[in-house]
Amino acid sequence: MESAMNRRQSVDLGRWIIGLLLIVLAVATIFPFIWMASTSVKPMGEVLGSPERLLPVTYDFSTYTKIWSEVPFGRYFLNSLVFSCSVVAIALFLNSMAGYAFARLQFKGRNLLFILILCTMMIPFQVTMTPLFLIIYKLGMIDTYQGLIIPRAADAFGIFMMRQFFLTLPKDLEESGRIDGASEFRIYFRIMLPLCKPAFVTLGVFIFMGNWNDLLYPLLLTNSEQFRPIQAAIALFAGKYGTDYSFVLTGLLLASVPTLAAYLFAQRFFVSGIAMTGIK
Amino acid sequence: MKWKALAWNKSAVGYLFILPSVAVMTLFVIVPLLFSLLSSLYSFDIMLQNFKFIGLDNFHTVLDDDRFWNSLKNTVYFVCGNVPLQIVISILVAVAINKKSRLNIVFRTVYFLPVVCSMTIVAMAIQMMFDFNIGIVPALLREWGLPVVDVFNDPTWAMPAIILISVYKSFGFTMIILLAALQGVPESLYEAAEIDGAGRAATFFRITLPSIAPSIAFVVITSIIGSFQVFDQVYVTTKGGPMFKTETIVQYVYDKAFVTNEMGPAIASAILLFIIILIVTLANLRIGRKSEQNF
Repeated sequence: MESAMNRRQSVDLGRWIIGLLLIVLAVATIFPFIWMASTSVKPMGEVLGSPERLLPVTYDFSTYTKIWSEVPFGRYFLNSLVFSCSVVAIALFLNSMAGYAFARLQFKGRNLLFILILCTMMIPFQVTMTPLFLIIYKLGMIDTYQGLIIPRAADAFGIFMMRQFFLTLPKDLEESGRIDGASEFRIYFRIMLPLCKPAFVTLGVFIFMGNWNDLLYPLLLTNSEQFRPIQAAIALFAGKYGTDYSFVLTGLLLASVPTLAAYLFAQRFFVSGIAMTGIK
Repeated sequence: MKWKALAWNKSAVGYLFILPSVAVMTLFVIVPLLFSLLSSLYSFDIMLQNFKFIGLDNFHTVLDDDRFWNSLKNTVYFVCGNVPLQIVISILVAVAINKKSRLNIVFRTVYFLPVVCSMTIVAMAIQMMFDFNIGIVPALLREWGLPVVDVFNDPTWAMPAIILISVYKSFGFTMIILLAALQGVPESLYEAAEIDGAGRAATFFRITLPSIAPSIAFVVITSIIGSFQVFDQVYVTTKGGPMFKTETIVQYVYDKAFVTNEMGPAIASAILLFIIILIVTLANLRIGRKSEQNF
C-alpha cells in the first residue's frame, strides 16, 4: 500500500519535472522573437546603454517607417512575393499533373522514370549550383524573375507528394468520367483538380516557405537590388547597416511575418502534410 | 496494329502529363549534374571558355589544399554536434507532448515557430543576442558577475554557437515527424506495458523507441545529409571565421566558385562532398538494416 503511494508520488514528481522542462524550452524558443521585437523598438541610446533590459523604457517605432524609405525594402518584399507565389502557382500545377500521371496513368517506363525522379532528391544543391548558374547566365536570365522562377517550376518532392495524394483517392470518379468518354485532360481538370485542395494547401505552404526562406539560391542568381529577394538582401544589408541594430532587427522581423502568418493560418495542414508523405 | 496504336495513345497522354516537369528537372538538375561530372575533368574560366582536358587535376588541387581538409574537419565537427543533439531533444520532446491536450498543442506550435522562419533570420537574431556590446546574453552574464565570451569571434566557441543555432532552428521539424510516427503506435502496447507494471523508463526504451525506430532512422539520415550541406547559418554569422574555424565544405565550394572564381576546383570539391554524403548515407542504411534484424 505504502509503496504504491510512493510510486504514485514519484510519477507525479516526474510529470512536474517534465512539465517544467517543457516550459523552460518553450520560453527559450520564443525568447529570441520577444527580444527581436523589443529591441526593434528601443531607441539607439538604450540599445547600446542598457542591453540587459528586455523591455525598452521609451518606445521608438521610427525604424518601422524608416525601413521602407531608407532601403528598397518594399522592393525586396515584392521580389520575394513575386518569386515565391509564382513558383507556388506553377509548381503546384506541374507537380500535380506529373503526380497524377505517376499515380493513375499507364505508360511505358513509368516506374523507372518515377524512381529516377526520386533519386534527384539525393543530389545536393551544391553539386548542381555552379552549372545552374552558368546555364541561367547563358540564357541571359541572371537578375530576372523568370531566372529565379523557372528552375523551381517542378521538383521531386512535390511530384512525390502529389502522387501519394492521388493514390489515396477512390478510382470510381475517373472511371465514370472515362465511361462518359471524357479525355484524360478533361478528367484531370474537371474531376481530379477540384479534389486536390487539401494537398495543394499543404504543398503550397511548403513550397512558399522553402522559396521565401532560401538564401543560397537567390544569392546565386541575382546581383542587383532590383530583383534580389528579401533573404539575400537581409544577409547583405546586415553588413551595411550593421551598427543600426534596431533597424536590422526590424528588417528581420518584417521578413518573417509572411511565413509565420502562413504557418499559423495553415497549421493543421502541416502535420497532415508531413504524415501524407508516408514517412511514418 | 490498332491495339498497338491505342496503347501508344494511352502512353502518349501519360508522357504529355509528365513532360513539363521532366523538362524542367532535366534542364536544371540532370544537365547540371552531368555537366558537373564531366567538367570536373576540364579546366575553364567563368565565361565557359578555354576548355582544356586535365584529367583528375581539379581533384588533386582540392585534395592538396589544406583549406579543404580543414573545412571537411569543421563539417564533421558540425555533423557530430548537430545530429545527436537534435535527434535526442526531438525524441524526448515528442514523447513528452504526444498526448493530445490543449497545452501540448501550444507547446507543439511554439517549438515549430523557428522552423518556419528562415535560417538567415534565426542565425542573425541569435548572433545579435550574443553580441558582445548589445546582446542581452553577455549583458546579463556581466550583471551576474559571470565570465563573458564573444562567442562568434572566439575560435573555440564559434562552432558550438553555430550548432546551437542549428538545433534551435530545426528540432521542431524533427519533432513533428516523430510525433506523426508516435500517433501510429497502437495504444494496446502501452496498456499491456502498464498491466505488466512497466515503469516510465522501461516503457520508453522497450516500447516507444522500438516502435518508432524506422522514423528515427529516417530523421537521422536526413539530418546527417542536411548537416553535411550546412551553409546559411555560417554565411550570415562568421563567414567561416575566426581563423577558418567554422569554414564548412559548402562554404569552401562557394568561395572557390564565386569569390576566387576557380570553377574547376569548386565543382570538384562539390562532387567530393556528394561522394562523402553518398558513402555516409549508404553506411547508415546498412547499419539501420542490421539493427532492424536484431530486433
